[in-house]
Amino acid sequence: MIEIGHLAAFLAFGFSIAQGWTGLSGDREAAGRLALSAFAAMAIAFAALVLAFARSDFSVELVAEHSSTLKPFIYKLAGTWGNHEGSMAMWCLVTLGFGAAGAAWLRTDRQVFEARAIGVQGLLGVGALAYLLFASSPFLRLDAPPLQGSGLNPLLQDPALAAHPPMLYLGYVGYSFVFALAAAGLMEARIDRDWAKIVRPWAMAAWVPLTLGIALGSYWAYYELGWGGWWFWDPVENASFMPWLVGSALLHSIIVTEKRGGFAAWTALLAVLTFCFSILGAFLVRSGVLTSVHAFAVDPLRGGLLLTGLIVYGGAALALFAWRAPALKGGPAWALVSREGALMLNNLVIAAATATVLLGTLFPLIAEAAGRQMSVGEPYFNLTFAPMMAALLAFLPVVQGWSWGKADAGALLRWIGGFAVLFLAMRLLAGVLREFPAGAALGVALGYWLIFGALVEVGRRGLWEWRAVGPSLRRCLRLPRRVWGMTLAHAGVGVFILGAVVETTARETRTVGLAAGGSAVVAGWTLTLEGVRAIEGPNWYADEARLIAAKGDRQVVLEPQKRFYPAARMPTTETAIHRTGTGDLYAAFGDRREVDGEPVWTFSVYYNPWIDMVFGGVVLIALGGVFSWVPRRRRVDAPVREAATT
Amino acid sequence: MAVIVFVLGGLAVIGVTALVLRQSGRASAIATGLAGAAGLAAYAAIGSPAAPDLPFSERAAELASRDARDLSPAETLARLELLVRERPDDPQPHFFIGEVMKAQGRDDDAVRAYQSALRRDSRFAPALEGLADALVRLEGGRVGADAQRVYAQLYAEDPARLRAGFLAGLGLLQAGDPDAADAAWASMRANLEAGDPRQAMLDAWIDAAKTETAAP
Repeated sequence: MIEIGHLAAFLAFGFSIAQGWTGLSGDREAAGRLALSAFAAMAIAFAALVLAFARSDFSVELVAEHSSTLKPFIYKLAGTWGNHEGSMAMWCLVTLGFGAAGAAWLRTDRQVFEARAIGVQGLLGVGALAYLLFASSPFLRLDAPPLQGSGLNPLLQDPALAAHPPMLYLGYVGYSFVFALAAAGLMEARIDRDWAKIVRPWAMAAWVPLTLGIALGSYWAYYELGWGGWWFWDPVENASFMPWLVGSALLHSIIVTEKRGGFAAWTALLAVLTFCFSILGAFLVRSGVLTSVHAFAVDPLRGGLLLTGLIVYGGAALALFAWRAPALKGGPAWALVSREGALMLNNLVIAAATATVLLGTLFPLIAEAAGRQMSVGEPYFNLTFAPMMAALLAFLPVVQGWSWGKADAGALLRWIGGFAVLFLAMRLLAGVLREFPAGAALGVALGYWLIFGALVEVGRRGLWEWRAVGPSLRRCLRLPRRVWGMTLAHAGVGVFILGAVVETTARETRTVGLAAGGSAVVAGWTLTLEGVRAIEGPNWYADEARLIAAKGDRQVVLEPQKRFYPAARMPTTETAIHRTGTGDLYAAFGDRREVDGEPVWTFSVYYNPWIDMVFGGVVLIALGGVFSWVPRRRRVDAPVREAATT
Repeated sequence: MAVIVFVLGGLAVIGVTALVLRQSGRASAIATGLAGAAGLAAYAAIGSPAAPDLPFSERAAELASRDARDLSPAETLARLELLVRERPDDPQPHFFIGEVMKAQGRDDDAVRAYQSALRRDSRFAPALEGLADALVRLEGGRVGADAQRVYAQLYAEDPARLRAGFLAGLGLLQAGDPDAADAAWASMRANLEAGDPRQAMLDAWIDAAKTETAAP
């Protein structure tokens, strides 16, 4: 079966070449059928690889190096993409999957446009498959297979991490089809309202899983790494965050192109840049230039090939844009104070914020190349990225009600006054309740401001009347899903900011050494170590502590573990978390040492207030994306119809 | 196997080419056929069409059918790991895994395997002894506190295990408590009947231990 899979991957490669050729020749039918055939072949190849992992076939070198018979079945399956070669196979599968989805569902009255988009996607598949089959093959066989494999990196043996790469790849690679559509539009010099209508669902189909993929990675880091935090501005995190940022700008820019026919060149450029950032992310993570749990490939040859791919595809994309963009038609004129002006500001600030993240990510690498060691951490991003985004978001509730073309600037001052009052109230409240820095009060005010703004916008579009709550509510509920999607996403940003600001500002941390029977107090909770016992799992051994946490008449048990995975010869920390509803009591198991002949264990204990709002906010943002993605519903109320133009 | 792989591949290329030819022009069909054939040729150059699948279940069945004495250490280990899954409450496979690890000089892995055996039967003497010995090796020959406790437990449960009792006392001596060591050894002597030939052996061990400990 594995050889049939290997052959199928080569057939997918051949069909993708033909797909590229026929597509660019304008043969929609042939390109579509070849896209479906290439995807079917790649699906067989990937299934064969999954089967080899499921059956612990150690005659496959990749399985021998990244699996073991002792692993739980779910992680045997996840092991397929928990390594460089397997993850690149998944990349190819998703690339070809988007090509097939395009072939099946892309139905416009522009046959040549469709053919070219599918053709460009085919060429992207050719590049990915060439790299997979000739430089990173997961199908290599061993003449003398071992009886036991080396096991999967224990840090990756986790449900969130099993789902994280597929979601991330749906996002990264999803943008390849958005790029293909942009390339096809640029070839025709036709980036217009029709084009934007076609592209929008595809952009959303990439953005939603990318959002969830980043959130899953962050959630995993929170509970698995034992550091108490959820975002570290790690270069690998940034590598996925940059395409998300540019992708978010793209979504907003597409709205202008769709509604007004404007921003054509800018939207096309964002589509190209989002794709380039996706490849850059793949290069940073896969090339080995970064040291991380994700940096599977440390082979300079592979890194060089990925860089070549980045230069060839990115360069070709930008060259196509430079060549064809001057031929694109502009939209109607707009004033600075207008919906277009606000969305352009949004785009520019997000682009500048992305540039600061890019600089912070690449600067240590550039410094290292120049012979200097330098790290760029949280303070840099707090000083650059955070203020820019805060300023942008503060305007969001104000400008989302503005009209197209030209808006009334008079309301701006009233809204600014409202925000100032809210900020002062938060500052006073924070000062009374506890010592909150001014920046944190601003952040909390911003969070509430965004939630309030999102609700106000729904009310405005639903022609809310306090004298007729029932009919108003019905009108609001009948608003198009896109409006609800926008509302959920913007409110989600508010919820996220509230959680992020409160969690990072008010987090309590303490490292304690406890002997059996010893106690320590953290955030009002008294933790008593009842004892430590040795336990074992299917493929690991662990020391498990039993901590009794008490506060008032509440008492809970926390059982953090320190695991050891013999196959990979790696320890991991399994944190214990008690959710109180308003925050997490979080314990991570540290080292054992002897004090006066008695064993003492170290624990890192955190109290993370409002942490659920961080992840809940991101889920709301993604849910907003899903709502916007679902096709528009027919509207019935005439008044709503008037007001509900997005 | 190789023939099947290539026949399937050839049929796939022909099928897709025919599909394209039916809906599109001859040029697209030729491109499809050529690209598919190129894929087949590239596989022929790089792939291993004759290599069969080798799922672990088949290899495990083959291992189980063979005489245990003919197995290599890696095969023995694989068979023991299968036994662990078949008999999850049995301490013996874990104990023997510990023995294989010990033979391979992997004392830290041996300790974990013996501990697994003891989690299933806390009084399983061979595992207790294996664990204590492995701990001593990990401490460079010194009887540390953990090993001392295990030896003491072993001797308490079976006073015939003279070596364990002696090493429990040695642990006390090496920890700087000669009185406790003497008391433990005296208790051992008292447990032996008069004229027991092991008495002389025990005394010889104790003398040697004291001499070695007193040496600078």
